[in-house]
Amino acid sequence: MSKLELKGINKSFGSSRIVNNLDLEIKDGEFLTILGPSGCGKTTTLRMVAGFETPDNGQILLNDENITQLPPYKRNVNTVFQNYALFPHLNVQQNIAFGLQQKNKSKSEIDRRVDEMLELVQMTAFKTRKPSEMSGGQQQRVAIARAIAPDPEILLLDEPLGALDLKLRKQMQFELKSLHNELKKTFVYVTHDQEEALTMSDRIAVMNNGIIEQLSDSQTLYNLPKTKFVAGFIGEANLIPVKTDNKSSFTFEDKTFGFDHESEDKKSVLFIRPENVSFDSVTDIGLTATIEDVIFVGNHRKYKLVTASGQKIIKTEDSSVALTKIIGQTVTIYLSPGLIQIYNS
Amino acid sequence: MQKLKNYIISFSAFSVLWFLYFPILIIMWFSFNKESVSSFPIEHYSFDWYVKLFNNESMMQAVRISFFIAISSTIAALLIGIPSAYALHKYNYFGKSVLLKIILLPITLPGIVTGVAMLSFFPMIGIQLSLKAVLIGHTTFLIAIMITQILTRFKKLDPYLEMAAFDLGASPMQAFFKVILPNIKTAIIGAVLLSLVLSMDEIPITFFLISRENTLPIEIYGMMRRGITPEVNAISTIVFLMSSTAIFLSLKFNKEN
Repeated sequence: MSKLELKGINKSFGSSRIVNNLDLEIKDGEFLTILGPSGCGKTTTLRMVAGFETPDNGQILLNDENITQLPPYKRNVNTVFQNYALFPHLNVQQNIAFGLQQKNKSKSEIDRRVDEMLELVQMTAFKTRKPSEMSGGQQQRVAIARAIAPDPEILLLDEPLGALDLKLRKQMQFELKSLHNELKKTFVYVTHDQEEALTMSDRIAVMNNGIIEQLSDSQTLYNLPKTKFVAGFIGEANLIPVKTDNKSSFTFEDKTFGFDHESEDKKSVLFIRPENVSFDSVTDIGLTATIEDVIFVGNHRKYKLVTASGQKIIKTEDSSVALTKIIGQTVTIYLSPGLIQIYNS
Repeated sequence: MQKLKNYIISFSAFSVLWFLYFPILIIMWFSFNKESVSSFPIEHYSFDWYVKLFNNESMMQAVRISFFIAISSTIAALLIGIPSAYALHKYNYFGKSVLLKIILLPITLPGIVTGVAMLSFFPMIGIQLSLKAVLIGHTTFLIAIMITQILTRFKKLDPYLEMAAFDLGASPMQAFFKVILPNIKTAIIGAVLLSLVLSMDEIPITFFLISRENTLPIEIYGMMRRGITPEVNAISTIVFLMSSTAIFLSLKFNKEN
């Protein structure tokens, strides 16, 4: 059963279309991340789910119930904001209690739930602190506790780790993930940080220019990106221009290789991850290139290769593999058909 | 060289302050003079003029009226000012930028213009010269103070606070009283103190709109026509101390975030 369903959502601000005919189904209990560059419409989408924006048309269904026109205070979803947005005049305990009071819970129930939440985010010792007396990371924990306390159907997280430093961000990624496992709630997470998305999510929706380019789990997204945009946005990728006269082959520097693909253009782009470029003849797709440079990057080494036409290709390999090539050497590099994709350019 | 520059700057600053406050200090000093003639040297110090002041029924009546006008016009300005500032902050509507400038007009226009205008306009709509007219007159320019002071705070307020309140189930009304109001409280207190002082000191508008009763500044002005008595020094001292305390507190509250 789908927990949340967005159907044909459109949203424009002035003359610019921010969200373009978006469809998205989110399963009960999943951790779904909307990933995309700034201005792609991800935050607007989240805000429409929260109720801060109303779609121009389309429907938002929560548990099959149409909530498109409901104001935020009548929706059973809660948000963790990027800047925390803790109430400065209230202490930690009062902040967490706010949503419970709005639901007219009894005093004893509120106290019990607040304590439970404080324990969940390990902030019990900070119960009577004001937001201004805490660090960013501590404030973020309280913000999470405050949003979870009223037991929402869905927890929305709007780049919640964006303001934290790298180390804390990594730590919080794990904590959010384990929080999700523990609570078994539906999390909808918005970020522009691909690593954050890959680490935490069950599924990732990559958004660009108001549309979802690809919706899949982390591994599929990384290994088999469906579009050129996704390929370039996530991880490192070689995007090599090739000629495609038909859908069963491609041509690179006068050599034609048999490969079934979907590209209808004459000019296409071939995708392969640097770690999948091989020196071993595992396939008959082999390109000739010269090693321009070899760079040692800790756990891996990076080869900068250049082909006869000047096309640059990056290959990486584990540092533990013995180095047998030298700079200036001409080599054949092999591209496994299972690890390449061809897109319209 | 740098040191000399510092001395010159600090000397100029203190000269200006001295020029501004010296007359007030003199008045305060003279208010403790036992003699009725304000001249040096002062031979005997006393609180006589303060005692006399508190026994002066028409002066006390003027103080009461001034307090009444100041408090009621401040309350009226508050009730109109807070929702206005909120609307100006939150919504975009046709003519908003013009409105924002017009709001400042009552502060920038010479009081005498406002006074004369109200003097001729009020009787037309059936408001006779009276304390009621003064109250309305004061409220009009206090609204401008309220709106500008509170609007400044609204602009500093994190817009996500209100969103967070909605998100946690608060209706717009509840969000205003539970989240917005507590966070602009200090700005409101500051604006209230400033309004009270401005209303207590106001002369030009009051002068045109008042009938038989006098506010404190008008009463003092009246007394002055019979010459400066140490009684005027005494009341001036009290007014000065009260006003400066209020202004000091007002600034302190406005700085707070």
